[in-house]
Amino acid sequence: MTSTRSTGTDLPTGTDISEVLSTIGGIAHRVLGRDVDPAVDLFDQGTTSLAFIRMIAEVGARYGVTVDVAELEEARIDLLSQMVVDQVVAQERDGREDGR
Amino acid sequence: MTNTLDQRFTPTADEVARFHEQGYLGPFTVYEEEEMKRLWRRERLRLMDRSGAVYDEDDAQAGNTNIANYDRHLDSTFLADHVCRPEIVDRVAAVLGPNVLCWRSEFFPKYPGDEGTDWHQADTFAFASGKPQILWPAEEREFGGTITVWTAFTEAAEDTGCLQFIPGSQRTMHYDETKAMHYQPDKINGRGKDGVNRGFYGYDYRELQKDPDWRPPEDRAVSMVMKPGEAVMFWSTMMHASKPHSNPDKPMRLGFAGRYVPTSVEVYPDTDDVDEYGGQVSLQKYGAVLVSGVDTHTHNRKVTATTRGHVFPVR
Repeated sequence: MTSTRSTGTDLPTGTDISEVLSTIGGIAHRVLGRDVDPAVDLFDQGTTSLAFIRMIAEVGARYGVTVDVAELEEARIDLLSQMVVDQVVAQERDGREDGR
Repeated sequence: MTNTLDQRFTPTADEVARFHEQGYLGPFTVYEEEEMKRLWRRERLRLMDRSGAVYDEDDAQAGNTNIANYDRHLDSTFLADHVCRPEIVDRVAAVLGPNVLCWRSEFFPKYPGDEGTDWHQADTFAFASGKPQILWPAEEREFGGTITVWTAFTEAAEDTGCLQFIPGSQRTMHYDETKAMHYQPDKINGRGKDGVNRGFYGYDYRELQKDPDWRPPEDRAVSMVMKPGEAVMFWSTMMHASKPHSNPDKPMRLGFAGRYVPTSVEVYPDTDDVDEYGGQVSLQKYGAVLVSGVDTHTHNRKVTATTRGHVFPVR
C-alpha cells in the first residue's frame, strides 16, 4: 500500500502527514456528522466521549496501530495524525530490523 | 469543630464562622481558568484508560449514571493530587479538624438538555444504597454528613447546570434516608418539579421527604456560578440542587466532587459492595485516603498510593 506526497515520493500508507490528516478528518466527519477544525480540541467542538472512542477505533483499524489516547495532550486531529504517523514509522522500522 | 493548625489556605476565623452559619464556603480558586482548561483537555483522555480503576464497569452502568467512575482519584495521578490540593485540604481541615480522609470522589456531568438535580440533603448516604456509607462516632453524631468540595472542571453557569444552595439549611434534615426511593430510569429528563425539569439520576428525591407536603424554600436559593478551576465546599446536609443544562450551544458542564470526613468517621461500615443508581461495584480494591494529619483509628481500610503507585501527598 502506498500513498503519494506532493513531492511525488512514494511512501507507505500512514507515513504522509497530509494524507493521514485528510483521512482522519474524513473519519471524524463520518462519525460526528460534521466538519471539525483539526487544530481544535474535539471535545471543545461538542464531541462526546463515546463518539471519540468510536473515531479512535476506526483510526486504529485503518492504520493497523493501537492508538493510546493517554499519550495525547489534547483530542486534536492534527496531534492524533502525528501520533499515527510516528507509530506507523516505528512499526515499519521495527519490521525492517526484524527482517534483517 | 475547628482546626488550630494554620496552613497557607486556611480560612480566617470569620470565614469558618460563615461556613458554619451558611453551610458553604466559596467559590474559591483551585486552578487558574486557563490552567484548568489545559489540564482537563489532557486528563479526560488519560481517564479513558480504566486499566487501573478500582471498580469494574460490568454491572456499574445504568440510566445516566456509571458508578464505576466513582473514586478515580484512586488510579489517576491528576485526581489523586487534586483531592489533596492544599487549596482544598486546608479549608476542609479548618472545619473538620487536622485528621481528614477523602472517602469518595465523583464526576457530575451535565450535557445540554439534561435535567437539573433534585433538591436534596445527604447525611449517611444511605438514600440510594440502603445502607449508611459513613457513620460518625456516637459522641459526634450531631454533625453527620460529609464536606463536599465541588470543583468546576468546565464552566458552571446559570444555563449550564450550576449548583444551587439554600444557605443555613444544613441543621435540619427534611429527608429520611432510611426510606426507600424507587429507581425509575425511564423518568430521567422527563419530570417537571415546580416548573423546573429535575430528577435525581433515576430517583425522585421527594420520596424521602419526612413531610410529603413540605416544599424546599427555593426563594432563598443562591446559584453557585463558577469558572473552570473554581470550587465550593459545603456540608452535604445543606439543601442543594443544580439547574438543568438548558443551553444547547454550550458545552457539557462537569463538576468533580471530593468528599471528606474526619478519620473518626467509619466509611462503608460492614459493606463489601455499593449498590445504587441501578449499578453495583465491589469495594475489594477500595481504600479511603488520608489527606491531612494522622489516622490513629483502625476502622477504615486505607490506601497510601494510587493503583499506579503515585503516593498521595498528605498535608
